[in-house]
Amino acid sequence: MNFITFINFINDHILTLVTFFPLVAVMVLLLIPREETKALFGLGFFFSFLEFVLSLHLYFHFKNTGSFEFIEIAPWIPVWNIQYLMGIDGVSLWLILLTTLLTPLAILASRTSITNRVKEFLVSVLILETGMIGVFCALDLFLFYVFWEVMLVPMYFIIGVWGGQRRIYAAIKFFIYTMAGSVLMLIAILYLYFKAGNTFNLMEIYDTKLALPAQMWVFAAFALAFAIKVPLFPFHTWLPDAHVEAPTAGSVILAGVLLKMGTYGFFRFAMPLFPEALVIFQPYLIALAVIGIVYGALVAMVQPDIKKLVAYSSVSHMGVVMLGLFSLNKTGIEGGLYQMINHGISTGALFLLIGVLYERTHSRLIVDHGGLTKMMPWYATVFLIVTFSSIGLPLTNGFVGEFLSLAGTFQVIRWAAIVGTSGVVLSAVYMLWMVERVMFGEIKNPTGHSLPDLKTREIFIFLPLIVLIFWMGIYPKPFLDKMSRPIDQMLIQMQSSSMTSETGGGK
Amino acid sequence: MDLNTLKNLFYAGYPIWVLTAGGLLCLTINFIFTKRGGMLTFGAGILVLGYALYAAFQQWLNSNLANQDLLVTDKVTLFFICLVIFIGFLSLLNSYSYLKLHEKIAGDMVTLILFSIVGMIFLFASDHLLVNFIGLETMSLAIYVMVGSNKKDIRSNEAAMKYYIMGSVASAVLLYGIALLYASCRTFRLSELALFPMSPNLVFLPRIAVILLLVGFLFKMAIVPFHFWVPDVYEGAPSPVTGFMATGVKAAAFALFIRLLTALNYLPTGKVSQILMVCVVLTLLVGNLGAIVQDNVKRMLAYSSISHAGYLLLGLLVGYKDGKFDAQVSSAVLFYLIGYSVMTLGAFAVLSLMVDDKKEATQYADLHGLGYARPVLAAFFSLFMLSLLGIPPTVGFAAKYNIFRFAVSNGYTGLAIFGILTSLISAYYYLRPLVMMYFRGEPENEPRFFGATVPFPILFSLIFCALAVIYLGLRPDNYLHMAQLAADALK
Repeated sequence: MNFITFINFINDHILTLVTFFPLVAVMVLLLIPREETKALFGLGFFFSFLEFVLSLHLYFHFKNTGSFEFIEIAPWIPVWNIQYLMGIDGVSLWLILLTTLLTPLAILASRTSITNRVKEFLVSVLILETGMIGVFCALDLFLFYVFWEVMLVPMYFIIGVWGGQRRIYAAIKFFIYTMAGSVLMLIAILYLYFKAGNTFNLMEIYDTKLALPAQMWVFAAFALAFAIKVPLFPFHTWLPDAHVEAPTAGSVILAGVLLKMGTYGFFRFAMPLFPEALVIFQPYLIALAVIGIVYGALVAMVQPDIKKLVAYSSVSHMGVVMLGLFSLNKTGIEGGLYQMINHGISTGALFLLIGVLYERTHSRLIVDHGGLTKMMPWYATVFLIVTFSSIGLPLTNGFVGEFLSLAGTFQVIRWAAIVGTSGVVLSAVYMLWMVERVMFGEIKNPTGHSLPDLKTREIFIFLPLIVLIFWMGIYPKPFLDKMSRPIDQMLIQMQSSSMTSETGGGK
Repeated sequence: MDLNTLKNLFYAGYPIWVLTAGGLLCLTINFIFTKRGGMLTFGAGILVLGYALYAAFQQWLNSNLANQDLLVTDKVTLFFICLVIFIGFLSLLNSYSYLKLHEKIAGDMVTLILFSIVGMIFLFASDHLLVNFIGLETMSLAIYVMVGSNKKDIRSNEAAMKYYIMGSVASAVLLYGIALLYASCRTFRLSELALFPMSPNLVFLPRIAVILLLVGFLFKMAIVPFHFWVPDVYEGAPSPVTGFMATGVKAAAFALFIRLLTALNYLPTGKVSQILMVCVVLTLLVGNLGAIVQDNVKRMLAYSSISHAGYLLLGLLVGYKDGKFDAQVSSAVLFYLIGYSVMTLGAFAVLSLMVDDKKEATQYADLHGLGYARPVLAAFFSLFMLSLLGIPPTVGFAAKYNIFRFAVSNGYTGLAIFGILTSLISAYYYLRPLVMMYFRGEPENEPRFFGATVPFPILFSLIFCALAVIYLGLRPDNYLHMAQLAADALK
């Protein structure tokens, strides 16, 4: 094989390569003796960084046609008509890049906080990465389900082995909650398979029209799986436990990527496949999203633990994402999807910051800290920027996403947009109040002596995130451009399938 | 009987004769070499089973075998012959550590395993109910003894006693059912039921017969409400024997059960499918809920095996359309049995190593910190637990998926939802061993285990089962074809 054919081969199978490269890294890591923690971390970071570089290939060769690109198709289990069908559009592209960006950062951040079972930890993180990327690439429903479930196991281990005090409870709760949603989705997928003429191929299933009562049931099954993952109120109770108990890397990946699988699932499957059921459920889903926004914010306000505060703020912020998606117009969906990426960056960064603080003081309680600006000026600066992004201050990414989501919602259901906006105000309250208590005021921390500021390694962790926060806040066009066409596509898809099934129902 | 018939019979039943002769050979070896007979018989048993497996597989590949009067040699029978010999092979490997510790009885155990496999084969390799019954008794008697083989252990004794008494009653009920079936149809042969149309005013007798037959089978298959013996017997029996019972007996009983259901289509049996529906619902609930509260891994696996019997029965139940059973669905059950066997035998391979000073240590607490003390073993055990739970890409998922696939396509969506929700319950108890092994930190003292290293036969069994669990999960195609081919023979 000469060089050109090799390059072509890579080009044709780039999605497979990006998805399964972490597994190759796992194979290499397994060969390193477990005592060599330094080498393990070095290699783990190196491979996950290489993975990020590989995924940039997707960005540079993305043609933005609006339909799926880099498609790979091969039979997998022919007896069941299951294909290995991978492909991405503008939305999944950003989610993949978010995943490949956050994973090396999470590994880098664990360098000092994970001291035991380093090898197993890195292996878990890398397997998790394969699962996450697979979820965003799979266009065969069965394949999607396989990745969706595979990802549970490494996360279960990350929470259970390296987590905090109540890790066992949190790990099992996480596992069972997520599985509870997804098992019903499996039956729904099977039902769709037979209705669509024995196919799992998403593009073919898009053309299938279900009658209305069936559509509602199948939508409900899909929506439950995704709502638990998002999490939509009242399915959120696993989230505070899992986020708080997970180690920093686990929380970052949970908040940064795993939650997005829920919203992605709504966008990719539940919304375009069952448009009429969606319209019927829309008011209820919007109501839940709004309740989630306000409830999450109010609960976050009274948390004594910074990590728990951020965890509840996720419930609130993901509510904004859902609100945007369920507005069912272009502005809203665009905002929702954009906010989904933003949340990954800003909440990921917040969990990383909490990890940095916890490593120094071994406490996450707000009352234990004070006046950090004087001791750790760089840390405080970064914290403030990320906080601004999280509460959606103009010029940061959060503003763009929240504004678009709420503007989209305002066109459809005004009261929801109005109440939803209160969540933004509340988020400013609880975040800034927390920042005020921790960063300013009288100097105190549980260790009793002065704390070191950010180290070089830590600065490198936050630098890319801060660049993204401002870039996405000041010049969102390149990001929105890539998402715009898939959204049009989805709206057309929803329109056409609801129209055809109306005429079909009339016959 | 002329020479030609004898010759044909010899070729048709070749694996059975190999096993029978091998069993006698092992008995002789054990008898001659009284000093070192145990491990020698073990080796001989492995060779016999290996050769029988090869012979059975050859028969499967070039099967133009004609049925020999009482001996049925269609594809589905050959499939099950391969499966039970294979189960016996892995079970014998698993019992290495147990036999090593009880070397005095090793020779007898090997012989009993071989004879019980012969019994299993006769249980389903004939369509004459009396031959089936003889097979059932041969199998059961051998297993009663194997369950009680740990003479000094009170639990083993108790288990053998319980199993023997309850099993005998079940056999008697079954035999009564066979007799009543004969009284109403004038034949013992399942394939001939269609030839003897019954007068419609004679409905009572066959119904009673069918009920009694069902009771006998449901007992052996460990279906609720005939499951009460399972936890105690599974817990008391030595681990490798438990693994053998959980897979081998179940496979053999299901093999005949499938044939029986097909034959019952010709009888005015009434509402068999409703009865089975109730049994499935109860089995899935009792199996999965019962497993939650156990504190012994073996006992948990006993309840889990009840719940898996429930999924298997669910897989058969969805074949009912308008009161008639369509054997097409049994391909899912056949595949499920392959998958269930490899993952269960793998799990029992680990359990059979958990012996401390000749005593089994299979409490959850005994697993504490295994992930740190014995990382490889713990990884194997986790894999089998995740497969039993049905996490892709393991065979447990593929097999369950296959059953639910038939359920949804045959219009049993409600039952599929029920089945999958009960399998959600199982997440709790299958994850508990993982919690014990990994999440509770380092063990305070060295875990109690058989030897410092895994003995080769058990290591082989572990690696084989683990590879099979993953391979069958990722590429089930060939084996799905195989199951399909076998199921087609039932029509």
